[in-house]
Amino acid sequence: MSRRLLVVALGVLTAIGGFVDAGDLVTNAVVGSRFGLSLVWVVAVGVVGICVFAHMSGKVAAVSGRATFEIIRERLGPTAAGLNLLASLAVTVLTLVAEVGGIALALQLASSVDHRLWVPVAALALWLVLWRVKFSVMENAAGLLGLALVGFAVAVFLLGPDWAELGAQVAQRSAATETGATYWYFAVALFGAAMTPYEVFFFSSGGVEEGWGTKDLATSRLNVLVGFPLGGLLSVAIAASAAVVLLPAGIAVDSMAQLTLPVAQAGGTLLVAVVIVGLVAATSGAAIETTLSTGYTLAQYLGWSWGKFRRPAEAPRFHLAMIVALVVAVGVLMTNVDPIAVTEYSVVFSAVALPLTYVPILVVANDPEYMGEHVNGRVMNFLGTVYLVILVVAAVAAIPLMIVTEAGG
Amino acid sequence: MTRDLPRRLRRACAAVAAACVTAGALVACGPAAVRADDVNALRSVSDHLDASASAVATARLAVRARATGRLPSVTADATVAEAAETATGAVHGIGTLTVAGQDAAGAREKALDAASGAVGPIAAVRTWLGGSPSAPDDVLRALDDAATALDDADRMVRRTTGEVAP
Repeated sequence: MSRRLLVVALGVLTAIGGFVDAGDLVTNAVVGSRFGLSLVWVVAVGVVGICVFAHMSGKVAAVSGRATFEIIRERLGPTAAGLNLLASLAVTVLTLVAEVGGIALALQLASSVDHRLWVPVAALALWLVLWRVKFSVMENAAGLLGLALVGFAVAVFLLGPDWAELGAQVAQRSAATETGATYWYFAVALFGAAMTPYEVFFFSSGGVEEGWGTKDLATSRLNVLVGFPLGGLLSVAIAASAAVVLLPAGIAVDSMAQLTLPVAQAGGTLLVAVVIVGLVAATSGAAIETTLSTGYTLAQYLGWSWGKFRRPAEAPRFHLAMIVALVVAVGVLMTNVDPIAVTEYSVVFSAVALPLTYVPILVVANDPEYMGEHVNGRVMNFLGTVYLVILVVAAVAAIPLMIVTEAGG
Repeated sequence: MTRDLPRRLRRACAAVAAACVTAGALVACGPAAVRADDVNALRSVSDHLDASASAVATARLAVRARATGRLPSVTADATVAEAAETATGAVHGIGTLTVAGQDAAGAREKALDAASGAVGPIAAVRTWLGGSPSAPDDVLRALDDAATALDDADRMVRRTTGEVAP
């Protein structure tokens, strides 16, 4: 019983620590420094959405014993699944570029060595971890170290803000110095950051890696329904720390380094060190997940053997796909592109690709041939349908808003 | 002929779609600094001044946190290095804008001076961070002056665009 509790607690803690990635870090800090907490409602909407679809894809993996993408190809055919693959792969690789850039930027904060020098080191370290370390160790270590981001929440409390004023910001629907289009552009970006497609592919493939069965459904549900919302609170804490310190100082976040300023003001060097550990862990964990997701989606679509539960020699193309993805990420970052700009674009393009990723999951979760008695109930289908409408609206609005606002100005 | 029609239609549709995607991508990736008229160009100048002011404020916070021992020197240095990059980018952004009218050109010049003037104090912060520990008064004063110059320039730009009353 106590061992079971330990497994559940570990899963929940890993889900909390693993929830935040470079997209969440950057977008929440940018939004907090420009709009205060007026966009917190988007984080809430995004967290409920990712809970709905991660729960569905986890259930598909647990009940069918197969990852979502394998079933998508079988159920929808190669053309529709191919479109899905193209969209999600493009966004996942872009997200990987952002995550590797995020690791490099976080390491720069601890060393003052230029992030461009850290990029190949980070990519090599990622490859070694993916090659040698067991799936569960890798996932739990990154997730638990990611909990160091709680430092942002600690900072908010230590700063002793005017809670009534922060509460008033939550109720605002704009910012005095920003246009309505910019407000909605960042709303779409925050939504894309919370619902990044790789998360569900990783979640369902991870379920297969860990051999989930129907007996694990309750654990999976707890991980999602407790871990993700608490992870969402970390996102809000990042926005709040920026809203309390950076917004009044007239600082609009355009680098990861600025995230440490409120933390330094609140808790000094020790808390800054804790938060930097969290930044490295969160971006590393997300980089591992996105690299694995590129391998998972390609291998599952093309019918290659895949998974960390197999030795690399037994899944060579799966491992080769991940190496190619890492090489592409390093190549892009070596062009001197700004990793923060890549991150901002990645969350917006995530929003564009969302319907293509999530519609098939809803279809499969309703197919009794795969799910038997575990097909979606009315509540899940209602929530899934409501979210599909939101996903389509966000996807359609993303590019026009990007053009009108010049990518948020 | 009739069998070819749908294929041709499909090809035409594909060509139109590809052209739209290419045009959209070009519009989205095009330089934001190039604007059609002076008012829009000066709004770009104002955006760059905001970025520069944000960089100065970042350097100021980093100096204060470092001076009180609340921020490790490596982190402060990385923070200020990024701020210097932002400030330099703002100078480049303003310097590459073209304006036609005399008033607009005057406002642009003042903005360029203020943005250029902000780079030095930010770079000086890195020197202060790398040197032996000393009071940050001079660096902070230089940053305050840079912030004031940026504020003045921004006010002049906004007056020229009619956003604030003369």
